[in-house]
Amino acid sequence: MIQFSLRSTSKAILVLSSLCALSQSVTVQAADKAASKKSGAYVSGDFHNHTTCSDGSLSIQKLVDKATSNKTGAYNLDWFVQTDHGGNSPRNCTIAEDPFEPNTPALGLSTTSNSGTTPATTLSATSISPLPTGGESGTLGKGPNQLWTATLSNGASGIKGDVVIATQGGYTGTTMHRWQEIKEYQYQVLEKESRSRQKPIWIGSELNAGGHEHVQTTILDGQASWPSTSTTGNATLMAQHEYCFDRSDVDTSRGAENQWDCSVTGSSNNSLLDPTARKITGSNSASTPNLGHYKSVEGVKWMKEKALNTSFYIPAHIERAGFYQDAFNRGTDVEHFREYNNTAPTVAFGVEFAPGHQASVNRGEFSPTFNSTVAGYTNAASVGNRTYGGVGIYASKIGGVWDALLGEGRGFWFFASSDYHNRGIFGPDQRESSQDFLPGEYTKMHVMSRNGSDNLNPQSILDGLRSGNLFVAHGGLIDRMSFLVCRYNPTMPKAAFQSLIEKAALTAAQAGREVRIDGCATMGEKLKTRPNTDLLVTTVVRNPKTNNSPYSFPNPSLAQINITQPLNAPVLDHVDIINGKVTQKPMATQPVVSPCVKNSYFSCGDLNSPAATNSTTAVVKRFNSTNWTDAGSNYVTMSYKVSSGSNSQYFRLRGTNLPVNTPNEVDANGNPLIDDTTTGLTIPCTSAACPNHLNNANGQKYSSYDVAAWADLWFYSNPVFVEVTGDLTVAGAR
Amino acid sequence: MNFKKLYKSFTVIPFCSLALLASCGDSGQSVDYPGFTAKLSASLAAIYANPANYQSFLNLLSPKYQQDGISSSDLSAMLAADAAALPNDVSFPTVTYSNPIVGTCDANNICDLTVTATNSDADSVSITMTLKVNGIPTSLIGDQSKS
Repeated sequence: MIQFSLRSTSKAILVLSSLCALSQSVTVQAADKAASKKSGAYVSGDFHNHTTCSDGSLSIQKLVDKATSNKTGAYNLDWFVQTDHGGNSPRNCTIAEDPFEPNTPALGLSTTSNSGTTPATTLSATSISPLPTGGESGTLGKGPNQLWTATLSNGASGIKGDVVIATQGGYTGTTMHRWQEIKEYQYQVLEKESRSRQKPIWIGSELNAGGHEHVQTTILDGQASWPSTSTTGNATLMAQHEYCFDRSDVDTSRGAENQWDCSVTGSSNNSLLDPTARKITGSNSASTPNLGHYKSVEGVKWMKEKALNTSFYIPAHIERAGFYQDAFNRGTDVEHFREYNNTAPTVAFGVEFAPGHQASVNRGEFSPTFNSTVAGYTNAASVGNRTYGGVGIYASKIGGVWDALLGEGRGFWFFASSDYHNRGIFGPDQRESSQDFLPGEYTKMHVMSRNGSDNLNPQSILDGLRSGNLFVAHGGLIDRMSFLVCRYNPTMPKAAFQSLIEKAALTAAQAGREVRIDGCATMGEKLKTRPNTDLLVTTVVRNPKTNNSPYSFPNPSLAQINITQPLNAPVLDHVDIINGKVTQKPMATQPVVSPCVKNSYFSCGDLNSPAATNSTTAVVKRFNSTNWTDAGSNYVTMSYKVSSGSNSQYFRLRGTNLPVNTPNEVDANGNPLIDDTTTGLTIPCTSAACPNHLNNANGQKYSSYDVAAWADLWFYSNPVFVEVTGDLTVAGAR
Repeated sequence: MNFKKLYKSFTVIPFCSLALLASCGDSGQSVDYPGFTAKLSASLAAIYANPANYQSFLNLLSPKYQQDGISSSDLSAMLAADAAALPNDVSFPTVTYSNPIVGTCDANNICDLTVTATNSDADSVSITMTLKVNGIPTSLIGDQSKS
């Protein structure tokens, strides 16, 4: 029986009153890590997309509108970096389409099928006849398809630098060098768009990297996007970087009146600069092996020198152009990622492991014959031949290139983008696509911006990208995530501790925020603990069960296993927790030599080499509806208890809408299978609503193009590191 | 001792609510559950301020303590190892306890003490949980689970 003692109660109240008084008089100190973090939120954006100032199809204004407005048919991204290819172009992308938005988004405008008994490798205007009506209004020499020479007040004399006449998108004319487009035209439009929309919208460039393919770059210095109100905003430094380091920028004028010099203070490669252009003008070739790569590294060094914490250098579709070749401009191998990251870890901190072009018949434009038209090139294939569940083999292969980098404790993160150029045979206001998805339509990066109570701003987003605190989802599979690894509190019952952490994770996910609790770490961070402690890996995700797909017919991939699920209402099937050990410190840069010699640092394009693998990586836990907790409102909670052991390590997540052993999609171990919708008529699309542009044979349509992409959805988190005392330090994470 | 951290922990102990006292068994002695809860929180706050300051917490454990397979000696060894490995920062999420409500007691005078556990971080959440306590003076005895 419980009894109360008045005397003891009085004592207790006295003690408690003292504590209350203490709490009211003592200022809380922001002494620990969690308390020192500004509050933030996950915000979505895109940093890889194109206008008619390179090989895109839209004006800047329309592209920005599609990406950031909340109109029907637009995708309401929180932030946006516009990045055309470097080089030069004849069209003026700053002239908006007229009328600005001519077509109501509509499904089913295509009227006839992609006929034939074999799949088309590419759709063309003649493969569907008649063309869908209501395409972009900017065609036929209007809007952003007008030439610079026809639209500048002073005509061709307004174009600076060396004269280059070229054809792009079917339009031939005197081109404007990209540095001038960036500095004098595109930036101004983007600043205006940013302020009128009150969103961080700024300019970058998709660098044609020497020796390699493409790299997303930006430099914030000088730019005055919203919320800045500066009247002196400029993108001069961004423009200079493009002039100096884009291998397709053939101008030698030093930026006309700018008289730029591309040297890097103290660099021995300054000797490679052309005396007139004051930049490295060559690239990889038989006579100048690796020269382009040297130029790329100089570009990273230059960013480090000029914009240490205000720039990024993020290689794109890294497997598409094949393995690195010292005499060609091709792909990027793991050793190059190491070199970039070693050169400037605050600038080169990740890559696009998931490419854009997700609706292409060659998903991501990855192909076994990507380089087949290049004479003398001996390796035509994209690395891995194709994507796997929409992700390149570098990250989709457990224990592959990404894990090799994480296994060094590198802060090297997973990014993704739209790479929007056009919708193939469809217009920009139609909802089908045979090529690309618009920014925010299919691929979303959710990045932590710790801007506190301030407005979202470019620097907070760039800091979030650099932090690694972000996750990527295709097709709206998930849109909220909380992912943390915590050390169990040994003074608490484990079940209670788990309840506390799960509640914190759910609360954070519901708010679109992160968990800030000492003794826990989230993506991009490291948890320090001693050996053999108990860890709790907790994640909460929201599967909204709705997305931007125009298709409500059953998912053809799931139909193979008798699951009926609309493409526009994907259901998360399972989530994998992946664990890998940190087996070594980041390897120091080794000089690129020809021919390449394999060792622990150089893979030389061998995906099975020690340099490109981390054999300690494995799926350690799989959650699905049988063992996760339904937290309501489409949230699910998962917790996994594991001992830290004695090794530093990391945890990362992937998830999909497809069950293990889904034919042609997921293998018996839960790994994504190769995305092959070009050569293989593999997955029938049997619904009467399957659109006409799909591949077909003998009257049977097959899942391809955008349908194949909407059918096969994955998400990837970035890693949470655990640094175990006495073992290797995790150098790349806070 | 890092008093700033210690104070910080105190600030989030909401002991302004009703205090409960009770007696267990036939001894007629009163059990001061609020006082025990306050001591418990204070001992945890001491650890959070300095990982080496765990003795006051251990003093609140029954010799028979067993929770999730962890005995009092195991816990002592864990806290000592933590303090040695990471002397400057507590390496696990921290909580304070409040709102003690005593529940049922079994034949061995092991009682359920329901408390509110709150972490003391920038992002604070609370849960209601049950501690197993017994004896006079009160001590944590755990649920006696072996794993």
